[in-house]
Amino acid sequence: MSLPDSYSCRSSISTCLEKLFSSNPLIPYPSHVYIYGNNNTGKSTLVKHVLNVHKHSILWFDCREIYSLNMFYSTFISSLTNQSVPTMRNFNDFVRVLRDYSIQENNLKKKKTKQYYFVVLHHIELLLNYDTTGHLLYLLFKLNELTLGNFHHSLVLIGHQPFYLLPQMNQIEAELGVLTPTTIFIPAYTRTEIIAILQNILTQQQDILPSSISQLQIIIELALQIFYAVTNDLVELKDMSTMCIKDYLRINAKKQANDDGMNNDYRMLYQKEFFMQVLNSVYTRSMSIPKFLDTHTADEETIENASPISIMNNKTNTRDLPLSAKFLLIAIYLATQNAIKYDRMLYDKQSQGKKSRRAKIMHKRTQLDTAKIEYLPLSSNKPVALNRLLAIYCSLQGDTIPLTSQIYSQLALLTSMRLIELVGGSNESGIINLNEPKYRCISSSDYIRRLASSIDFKIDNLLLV
Amino acid sequence: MSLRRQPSRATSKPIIPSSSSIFINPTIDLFLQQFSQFIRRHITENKSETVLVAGPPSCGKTKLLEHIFTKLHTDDPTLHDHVILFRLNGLIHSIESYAVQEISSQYNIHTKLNHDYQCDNVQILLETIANEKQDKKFYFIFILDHFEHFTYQKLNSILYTLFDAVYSDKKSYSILTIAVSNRSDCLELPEKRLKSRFSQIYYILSSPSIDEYTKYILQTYKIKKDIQISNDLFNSLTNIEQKIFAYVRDTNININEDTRPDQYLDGCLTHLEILLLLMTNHVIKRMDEKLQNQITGANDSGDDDDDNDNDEKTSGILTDTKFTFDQVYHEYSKYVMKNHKYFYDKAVVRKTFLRLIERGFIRRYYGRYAPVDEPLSGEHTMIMTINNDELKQYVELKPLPAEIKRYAKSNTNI
Repeated sequence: MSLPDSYSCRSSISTCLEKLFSSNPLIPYPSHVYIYGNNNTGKSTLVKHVLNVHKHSILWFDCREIYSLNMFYSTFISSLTNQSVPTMRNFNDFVRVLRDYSIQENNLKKKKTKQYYFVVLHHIELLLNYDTTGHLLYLLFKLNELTLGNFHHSLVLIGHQPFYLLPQMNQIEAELGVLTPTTIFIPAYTRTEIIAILQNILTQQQDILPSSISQLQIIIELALQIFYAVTNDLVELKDMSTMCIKDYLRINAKKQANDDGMNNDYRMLYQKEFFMQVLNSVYTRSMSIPKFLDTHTADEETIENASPISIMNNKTNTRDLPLSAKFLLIAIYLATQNAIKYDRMLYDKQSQGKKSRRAKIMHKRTQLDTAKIEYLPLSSNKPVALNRLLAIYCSLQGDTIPLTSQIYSQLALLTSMRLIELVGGSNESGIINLNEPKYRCISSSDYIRRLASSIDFKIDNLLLV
Repeated sequence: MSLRRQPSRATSKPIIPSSSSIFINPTIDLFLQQFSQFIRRHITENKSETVLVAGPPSCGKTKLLEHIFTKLHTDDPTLHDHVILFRLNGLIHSIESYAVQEISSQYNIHTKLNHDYQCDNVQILLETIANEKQDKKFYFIFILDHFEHFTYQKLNSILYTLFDAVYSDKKSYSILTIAVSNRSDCLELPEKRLKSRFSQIYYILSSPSIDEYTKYILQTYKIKKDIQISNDLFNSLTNIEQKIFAYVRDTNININEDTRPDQYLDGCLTHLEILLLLMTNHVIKRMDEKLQNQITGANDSGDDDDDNDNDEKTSGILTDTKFTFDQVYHEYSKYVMKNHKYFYDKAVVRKTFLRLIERGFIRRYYGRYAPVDEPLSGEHTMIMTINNDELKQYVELKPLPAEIKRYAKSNTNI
């Protein structure tokens, strides 16, 4: 059995682990091993592979699935025996039950060589967080002694931090003595290794033509130029790269056959902005991958379920929206982001000079930081009253442009384009309450910012967050 | 190895130890002889007693005791009927109900039966066990590991029962209590009444030399290599053994690797993470300087932006400066506005920060009632766990982007 190809860069560490866990009639197994490193660097895969190669009896516990110590005890015992597990309320009960089971098993089997287990605790820091006494790790190290030598095992711990930085190690070292397992550090993948792994995985998973593989490799390298500065987590990079490739394949499928090189360059340049959107939404888990693909694309495809008018309008880019519509969108975004009590300070130009207004905004920002007010993200925004929206719009546009009924048609246009949404107005009979119409902004923050930058509007000056 | 004990009440012939599977040097041999003699005498005379065996962690106290009792049973199999050994651990058996359960479980193992004793306390349990065979007088030997944890319990009835046996004339049983502890001062820990009941017999053990023990391991496991282990502060007998086994299995392992290796920065951090660590360092440095200025009474000439260094975060120990995520993010925002590089959303920066916490570069403090999985907010306080020198070395040696190195130099962190 050999390691999968994607782990070819881990061959030296795998060899080291194999030697450590190989059976030897003269030399005992290491009693405690601690393997640590970044997330998604192949620690658990390597350990599983190595233990399976030597066909050892493994008791594997993923501490992310364990929510209390009692659950850990019962999971442990139930992994050893098919019989019903007695109630265990503390470590004392656990040790007794484990010892009784081990003695029973040794008596039943009556072999010269007793059963030897490899107990693997993955994400050990999470389990130690449930320990209120601070002695759990020490007691786990002494499990063989506590079971009077009846439970033969090696303890393999997998974590992220150095061993001496684990929770409550200070307490253990001060009271009970220093624990020193055999430690193995697994470094993060280098950029070259990640590129090779991703190319290997993605070419196998995606159903693409061989002629597109070189394009795929270019996209992966371009994506990593942006993503690798932020994270070297293989799973995160794989998800983000997969999404970029899906988008690329979708665009490719819809494009005409005669796609000239100019468009390719444009797409490659434009991808950078797309990559940043990916980083800011999918990496932070503020948006799921399918939702992101539906609402974002490197070529600004249509939004799902859009009306024919919106499809036509969205095919053109943001430069084709009327100026007043853009200001309306900016106004509704600002109304959503800033609290209503700051509107006077922000938008009332008559009572303050421009200079003092800016100073007041900066002062208010620092006050908010110190007052530790948290603003809700755009995804949970509140609807904005029409009056407030129009007031902010007038403030942004200035006195020269009057407020006419054309604004209302712009609002309708934006609603049909699904850039804003009319909310809460209709009663049961479907009649909209015009006395109190409210709108909610459903465009993304990135879109609004791009819009503002296209008309040279400094939106950050009016944002308090 | 040092050995101190009070003069015993009677002497008997020394017992010559046979070959054993434990490390023996002259001092250990002397201890084995004297202690075995002590136990045999007490068993023969059915005398209750208390004795302390103390020594640093992993110096072999438990192993030596196990060896003594195994040899005892091997030399005289008839002892098995009436001499029963109980091992209790202060970390998990200091509460009486737990001790009762453990004692009855170990008794069942000893007798290979399955009694179910419903006893409230240790004394009743021992009397129940002793009354099972009225023709024999039982001799109970209690080994109390981590003895100091038994003493932490107020009015510990386990200890009262065991210690009282020395002075009470029990017809059905006698008790030998062997307290085992890492602390040589653990005799000062019990309450006054317990202290007075404890006999002042104690043995203090110390670890053999690393070279001696290494040679013993190599001989026992017939390893023909010549292995030298350096004198690390945290080397215990267990550690030496494990290092040798690991080296024999894989000679690429560095046998003299530090027990406390420095935090691995190489192959671990992305550029954004390094930048955030440098910024955190800078925030801490500024806070320390501000505090120092306040202490020395110097004028604070910081600009408006420095008002964000909140007052409550400068309280606490000078060398253990706490900071918040908001402070680091403020520093990050200033950097981005000035340099127009590494511009990411706040959520991305927060997630990167969480990764640093996960990997132990930054330690987070939790409130008393805060759940462990409480999301990081701007107010949570943290400290850095890596020191300046490590970061300095890493930034100087590693090929990093010029803007990061420039930031590191310009802020005179390193």
